[in-house]
Amino acid sequence: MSLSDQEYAALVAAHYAQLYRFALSLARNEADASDLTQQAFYLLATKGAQIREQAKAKSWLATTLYREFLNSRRRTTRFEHVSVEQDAAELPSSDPDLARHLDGNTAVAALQEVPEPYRAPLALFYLQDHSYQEIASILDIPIGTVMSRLSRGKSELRRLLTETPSTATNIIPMRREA
Amino acid sequence: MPPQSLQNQLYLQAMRPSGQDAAQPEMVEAMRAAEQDPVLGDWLAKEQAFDRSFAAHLATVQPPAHLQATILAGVRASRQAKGRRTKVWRVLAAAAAVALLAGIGYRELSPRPLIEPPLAQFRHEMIQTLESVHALDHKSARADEVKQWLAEHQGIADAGIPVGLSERETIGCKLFEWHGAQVTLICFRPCPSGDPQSASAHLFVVDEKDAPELLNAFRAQAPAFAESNAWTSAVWQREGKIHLLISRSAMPHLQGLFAGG
Repeated sequence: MSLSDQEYAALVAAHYAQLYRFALSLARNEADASDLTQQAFYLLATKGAQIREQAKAKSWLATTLYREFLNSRRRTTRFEHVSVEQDAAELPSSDPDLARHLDGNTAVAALQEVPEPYRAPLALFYLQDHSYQEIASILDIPIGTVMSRLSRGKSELRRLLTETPSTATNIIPMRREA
Repeated sequence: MPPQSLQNQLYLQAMRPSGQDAAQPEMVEAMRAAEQDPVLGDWLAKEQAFDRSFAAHLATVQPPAHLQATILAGVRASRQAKGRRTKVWRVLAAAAAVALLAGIGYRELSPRPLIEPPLAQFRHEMIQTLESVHALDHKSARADEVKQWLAEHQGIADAGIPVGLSERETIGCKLFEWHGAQVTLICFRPCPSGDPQSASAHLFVVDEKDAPELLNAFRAQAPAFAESNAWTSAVWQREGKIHLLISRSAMPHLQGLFAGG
């Protein structure tokens, strides 16, 4: 039996914003992110007939969106798995002030610059809807790989926030005097 | 750091800052270790503070205003198409139903966006405007004169420009309406050094109050670049205004305008 209009509208209302944020971190632009989000919900309406529980729908939508993103990129190769042991010695220390001075746009822009193997797990982690075990299931990678990618991804994120000046700072008011 | 501490650290960095994972056995064990190890404890406090702050900022990013309605409309359309298909099947012969599916139904079943994203539409129509504009409202090579004219004519006089345009002469400016929103257009001459890669640049600025959907569709302060039909463009928002810069310059040259230095 398919979802009723009310059930479907409730699922859209509950999840579309978080799903869009995940899509935006992957696709890097508003149009593609909107397209991916619509596509995931369209597939939920047409193929996700048995999914009524919020928790299952949330994971199903994230998994579907990620697969659609990979399909759209026509990816044929998989990323190399990095072992926990390789990354364990590189766990960075945090500077909480790095994040305090951000805003939403800068945060998502920094996330979009994180290299692709680390970006999806990192986005799902910071959206906070899924445990690291669920992230492993959504991305179809081992749990140890999720942990190592989170670690490396956070490291990349801090590097980007510390070292890369935003091009936004190079936009200046139009001069008053010639 | 001992291997066990590294293992605990690896678990703890995967613990969501809002605390949903704190009851998991491996997290309980790792947190107990952090309580007994000042170095690990200090690291965890900083890590969680960073994660909480970053997650909170990310949660403020808003989807485009039309997205929820577009998702619901898309599925309604596909369901209506399906309903029509079933009814027709019962009444008409199989061949007629197949024809209906192939002809009418296909477009409505398509999951692609039903409305063009406002930003893409804005970019597309501003390029069309450039290709058809023959006269500016005010001509001046001096940016300060252009700015003054805009201030006197209710245009946007406080536009933000990339540093690479700050030393260029202006050509002039124009005010016009786009779907009820007032658009300010400021045109800049090519780079004075005579760089053959440089071309004139055209800056379109729209205020949030005139086109809220446009701003909702794009809130990044860092420019996003695109290329279409020999035009390159960059879009960014600053102080509640969408800025769209369009040029015939090659993409590296356009991007270079924002590089500074």
